[in-house]
Amino acid sequence: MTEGIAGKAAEPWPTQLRLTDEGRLLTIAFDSGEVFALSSRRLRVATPSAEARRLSPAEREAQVGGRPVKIVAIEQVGNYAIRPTFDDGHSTGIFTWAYLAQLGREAK
Amino acid sequence: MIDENAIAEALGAVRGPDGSTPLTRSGAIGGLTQRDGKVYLSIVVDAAEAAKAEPMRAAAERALRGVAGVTAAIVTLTAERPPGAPPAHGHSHQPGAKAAGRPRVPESVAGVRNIIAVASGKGGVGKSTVAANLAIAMAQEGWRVGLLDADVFGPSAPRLFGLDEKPKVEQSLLVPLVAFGVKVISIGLMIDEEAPVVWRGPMVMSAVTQLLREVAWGELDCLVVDMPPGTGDVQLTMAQSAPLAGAIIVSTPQDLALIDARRGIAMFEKVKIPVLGIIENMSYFICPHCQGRSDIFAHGGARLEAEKRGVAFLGEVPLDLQIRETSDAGRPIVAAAPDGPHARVFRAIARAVIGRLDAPTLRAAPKIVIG
Repeated sequence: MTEGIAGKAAEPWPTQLRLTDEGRLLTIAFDSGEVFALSSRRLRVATPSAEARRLSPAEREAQVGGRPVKIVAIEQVGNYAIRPTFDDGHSTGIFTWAYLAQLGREAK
Repeated sequence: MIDENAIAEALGAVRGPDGSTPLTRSGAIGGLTQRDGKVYLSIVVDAAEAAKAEPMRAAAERALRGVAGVTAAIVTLTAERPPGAPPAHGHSHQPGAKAAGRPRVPESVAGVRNIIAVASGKGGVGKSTVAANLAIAMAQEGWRVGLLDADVFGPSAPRLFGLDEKPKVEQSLLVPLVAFGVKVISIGLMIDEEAPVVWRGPMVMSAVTQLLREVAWGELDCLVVDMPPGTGDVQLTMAQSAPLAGAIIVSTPQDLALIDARRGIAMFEKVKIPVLGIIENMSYFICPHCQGRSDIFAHGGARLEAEKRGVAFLGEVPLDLQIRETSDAGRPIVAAAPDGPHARVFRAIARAVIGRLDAPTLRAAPKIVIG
């Protein structure tokens, strides 16, 4: 019965998200034991928001530019994701746990 | 690598948005990146002045192309200017004191330990009746329970709980009404029972958010949310705006309802809300005259579906005249006949739900730590 909930246990579930370096670094610990450190800039470039999805990787880079990026707020979205607000005002990207894990693995 | 200083020098010769300050010192540079000889520059301008800024954009592009090693330069104008963001490239050593301050982490609904949704894929399966009886049964088990009727188009909690007064407002919070030990709030308490609710999606969503957050719920062990049928806007809003501890799916046993129940389960799985279980409503019918049993909608379909999906089966509620009558009369069966067979069914379900909520198998949302 408990399998129904714990069920699809293959998907990683985060235990802690920590924002450090004045909002420049997000460290995510998963219950699988994996720990990923993602720069806020990386997250900004990889935002899954609808308006950014149509942009090519180069356009995304250009939009963000070379400046350092900070996360100024993190809002939890239900049980499944976070919605960070970046210092350029962008806040429409909803990062699911699975997407964060994917970004973390790509960064390694 | 192109020499950054050469780029800065070239851009320094371009006048910024005000027509006099060099671009590099105007604070208008939103971003500058380069790769393989290509330079991407974004200049932040007021959206209203975008047309006027075009010569500046072209000038910047020409200036960049003149830099040794640059094969292509792409300059874009952007109007995305955040309030209080640090002005530009090259000034990152300045403390970001003007930035929006400490990051904030919003809380769930204050004082409410668990929020669960009672949902159905399809309308007419008796979801609201089940939600009401479940809430009362949980209250009888000693939990502090609230019921939020989120079915804004067909609110039924006022009728089910026999409530007809308007809730008071204290300190800009709605005060829920109390019936059978359950705190109840419903859009139906605010509007006339006969009046149709003709609302656009955004209005519905803001109404639901208000019913959740701008209500003086006080300390609750569980808030039961009676969801509107289906898998649309309201359901998603609930799933996103509150950390739901779980969802209960109500279905009748026939295939048509089960197809939609499956959709409901899939939706909750997608947003990582654990499905606490399925309740089969109108499961069977005992004839009051001959005591013969009829499986009007077939029987056991929900149990089978639950097994197939690896979801708990919480119980079956019979189709019974008494349940219908007490519901319409504003005295749900669990309150009207607390020792009857139907109340026992609901209390068993309530205990199962309480057990699931207390069990540590539920994966809690992660802690978000700043600093």
